[in-house]
Amino acid sequence: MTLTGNGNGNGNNRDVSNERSFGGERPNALELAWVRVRAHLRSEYGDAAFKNWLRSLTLLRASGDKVVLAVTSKFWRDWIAAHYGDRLVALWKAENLGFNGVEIVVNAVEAKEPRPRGDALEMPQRETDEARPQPAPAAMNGEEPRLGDVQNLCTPLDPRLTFETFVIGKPNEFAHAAALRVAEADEIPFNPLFLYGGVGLGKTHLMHATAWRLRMRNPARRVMFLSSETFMHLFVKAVRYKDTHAFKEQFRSVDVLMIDDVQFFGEKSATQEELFHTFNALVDHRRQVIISADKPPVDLQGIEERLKSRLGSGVVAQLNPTNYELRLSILQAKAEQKGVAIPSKVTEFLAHKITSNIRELEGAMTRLFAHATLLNSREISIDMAQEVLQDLLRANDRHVTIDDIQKRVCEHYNIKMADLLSPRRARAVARPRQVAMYLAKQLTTRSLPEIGRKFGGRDHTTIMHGVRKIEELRGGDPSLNEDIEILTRSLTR
Amino acid sequence: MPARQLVLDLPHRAAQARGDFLVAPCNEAAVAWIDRWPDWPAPGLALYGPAGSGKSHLAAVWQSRSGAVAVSAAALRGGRIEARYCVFEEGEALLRDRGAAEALFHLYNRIAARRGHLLVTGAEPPARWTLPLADLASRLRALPAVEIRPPDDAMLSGLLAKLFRDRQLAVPGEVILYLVQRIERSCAAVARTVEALDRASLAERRPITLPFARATLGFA
Amino acid sequence: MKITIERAALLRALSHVQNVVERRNAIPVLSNTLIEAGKGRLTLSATDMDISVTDTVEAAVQKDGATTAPVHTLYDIVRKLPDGAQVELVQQGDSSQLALRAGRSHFTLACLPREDFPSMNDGEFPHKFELAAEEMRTIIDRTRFAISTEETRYYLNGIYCHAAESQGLRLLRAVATDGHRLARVEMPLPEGAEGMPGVIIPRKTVGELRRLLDETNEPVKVALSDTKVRFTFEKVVLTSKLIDGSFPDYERVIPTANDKTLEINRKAFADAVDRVSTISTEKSRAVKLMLGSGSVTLQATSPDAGSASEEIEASYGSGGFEIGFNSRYLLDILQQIEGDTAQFMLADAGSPTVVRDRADATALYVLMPMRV
Repeated sequence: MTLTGNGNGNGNNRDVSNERSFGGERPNALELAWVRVRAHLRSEYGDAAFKNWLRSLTLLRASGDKVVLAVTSKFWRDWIAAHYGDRLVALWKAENLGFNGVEIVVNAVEAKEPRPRGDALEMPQRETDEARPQPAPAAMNGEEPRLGDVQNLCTPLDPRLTFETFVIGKPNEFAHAAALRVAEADEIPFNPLFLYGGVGLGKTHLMHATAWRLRMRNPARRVMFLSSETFMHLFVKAVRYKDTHAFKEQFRSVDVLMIDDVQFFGEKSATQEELFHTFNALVDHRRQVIISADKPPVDLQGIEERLKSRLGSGVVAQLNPTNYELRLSILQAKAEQKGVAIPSKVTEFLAHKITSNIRELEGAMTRLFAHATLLNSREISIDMAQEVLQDLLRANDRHVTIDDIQKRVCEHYNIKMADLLSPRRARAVARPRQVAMYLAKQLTTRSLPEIGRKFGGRDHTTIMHGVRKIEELRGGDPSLNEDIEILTRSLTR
Repeated sequence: MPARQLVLDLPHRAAQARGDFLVAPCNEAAVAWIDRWPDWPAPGLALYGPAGSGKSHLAAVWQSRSGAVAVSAAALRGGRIEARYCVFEEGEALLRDRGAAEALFHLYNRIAARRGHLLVTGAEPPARWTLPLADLASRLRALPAVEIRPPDDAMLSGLLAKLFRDRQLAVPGEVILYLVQRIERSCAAVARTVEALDRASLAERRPITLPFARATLGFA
Repeated sequence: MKITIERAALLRALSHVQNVVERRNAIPVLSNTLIEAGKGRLTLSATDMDISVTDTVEAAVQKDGATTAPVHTLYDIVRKLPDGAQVELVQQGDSSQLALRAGRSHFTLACLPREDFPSMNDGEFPHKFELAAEEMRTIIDRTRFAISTEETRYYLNGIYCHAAESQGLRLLRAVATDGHRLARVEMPLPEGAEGMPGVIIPRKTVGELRRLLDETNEPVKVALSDTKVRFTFEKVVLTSKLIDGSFPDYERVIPTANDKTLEINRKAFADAVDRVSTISTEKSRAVKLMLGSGSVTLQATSPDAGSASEEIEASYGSGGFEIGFNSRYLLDILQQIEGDTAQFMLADAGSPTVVRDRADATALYVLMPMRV
């Protein structure tokens, strides 16, 4: 969008020095002019209009006899052009730098084309299932693979989930050893291997790692690894298409069958029956079966006794809840893997705070890395972790109310609530009152008139005044600033 | 009470492209996450914030870039969804719906296995959802969660102006500045206010001016 | 320039163009009509920058030329000349005066050079079709009463025309609404209109068009682009900008499941509404309809004026209930109905009501009730 002034507009090309962008150490004439133009806008339209509408304008460059300004959305561009366009042109002309028009461009990422998928993730280092034909992406309930394509429904192995990346500690060393034994043995050591543990403790990691190792040691071995949901889905479909024979054939011809999360078989008796028979057939033919679940076989709900007893007839290994040491080692290993330096204070803080499970711990680390390296290049610190992970760390917080704020401010400044709400103007109560008003505006969504009512029936302009006052003072008064930070922290944590 | 003319509920189209999205300090982190797709470090993203804060708009922006399928709780219960990119906007609906939670869990696993992405949105972060399925809860909690904070003044005025413009209504800037100082400072309140003024002006055949806004909204 | 023309022909042409010109104009040349003489013809044009009208008439041209002169003054002069008079228009060279002579009357008018007269940049009109004058009159008459006059909602200040398909039929639809009521009329899509964009024709253009349609029964050529429309009559050409806005998805406010049907004699009903509403307050003009088996009772009350009621026969059998309407809106719609019977499809006192002419399926009206 280009706005032009009337009159002497022959667009003679301007000095190239104006074409450069403005990263230099010293402001040039153009930047200084921009400062003046902004100051004019501010005084002409008032603080509120300036803050709300015009602040989003940034100076981009000079181009011919035009100044190019940028905003972040089409909407701002149209609004500013419609309401302030003429003034902008006039002010720039008044700067006498030879400008005759203003162009406002949208600086959004619209131009950024979606890149091909997956390039952000580390690509697998070995041959992976990604290379296989996949069901058409984004096809909802579309053409589903027939039973013959059963291999396609196997869970693709995640190259990040190997024995090498599995961090061992007291809580998981037995399960790890059992899985490794099965993965490396030439003869079947025990059957089945039953891995169980609460959510996010590494069951799936061990399953993937085992499958990788089995494949690597003997590529000819037919390893079938699938989720219990896929097993059920295939079975239900086989029954519907009266094709159970092919289904049985498929499953009974593998060398290793791995099924994740069998707790989902609960109350599904037909599927359980099928699994029972498949299981027996495989074990009879000396084929390895590996099962995972969230509970030991005896505690599985809605599973028939005979199946439970089969599932428990080999080795049952538990992944126990993590301890502090294991969490710390996991965090350190993860940081090392990513090549990111992370202060030990932060890893200790996280290991201390995020005790639920490994998945969430790793998720938290991932978020920290993303924020640090990719979003705003910030150093990882405890403060930053607290900010980025606030939803995890403060999962049980409630929302701040004006009453909370008033109470906390009274405590902090050691004044009475009655004084806070009174009309008294003595500074000892007036300033805390303004702080409380300021916090009420910052931390709640109440309207200014509502806040006014909560402060002894004050007018919204009084609240506005109080909020502005604190905004002004904060910059130059470190002790006030500290008060506000302490109060904000105590209210929001 | 005097007789009051009712008005036709004429629909309007909201501008939903990325360029129409108002970026302000309260949502810039969320926008940055959407913009950096497909460079996401996890199988998905959780976007949370109060109603009307623009989650759906951002989700629509992502959807159009990724070709993601929008999935509802009902659709989850309805059958197996085969899509590599999905948006699920009913985060809180899962709290009482074990069937849907279980289906979303399996969908998440399939998406993760195929290196796809799941965008979930809700008023609260997944860490505060008490889900009926622990396996799903821990997966969602492990996703990067980014907040759209309650709007600041710049956002409120921008949003008021945008919503009026979506309805093709010319409203003077002074009305908007006036409203920002008086309405509840949430996106939902902005939407309600714009809707109320639109209907009242349509019913009474009057332009939206400062006195009209004052009278309609009952501000002294 | 020097021409002679019969008074009636000149008056007719002036009457075609003068109406678009505003009475007050900040830009003087916009008060003028462009007068062009040549090849035995006189062409008059006028514009308000949104609409332009051009008319061509035969005249005795003694000397070619062109200038612009104040159109309202010119029109008033010619109107007051005696019937059958021969009018002579003369401009000497580049003179800033136009002389008008007829019999013993002599006028001198200030004129402005033709170069000052704005031309509406026409551009391309990719969509072209023809409509019978009668069809166009129907489209306008059935819908224009519902056009919004409230300037804030510029996108409702016109008639929305678009191509539609319904039950396998390709239709041309015209719709107008002010948010209180809506009128929709449809007819078979004329050849050539298949790919036409949905356009909003401004209220003022509709008025001009309707005036011009009074004088013809010949088909009118319609040409459309995304931003302009042009109507070509035998001699007159009207070009107009379209409203730059998007018309709401109006289909969504037309109820399809209203299950209470009221059929009533149009004239009896209109007369009764008219009588009873004498009592309604000036501002709201509300009347209440109490529907009962086989009859409707109309009622109006006003704190100042008193009250009125009247019962009329009707075919209705869906259970009694009450609903309020603005009496003027009811009359507006009843006026469009040419058959004997008006058909109302109602849901409840807070939902849109559909009104149709039982004898004519092409027009449909939606009316929002009042809370009374």
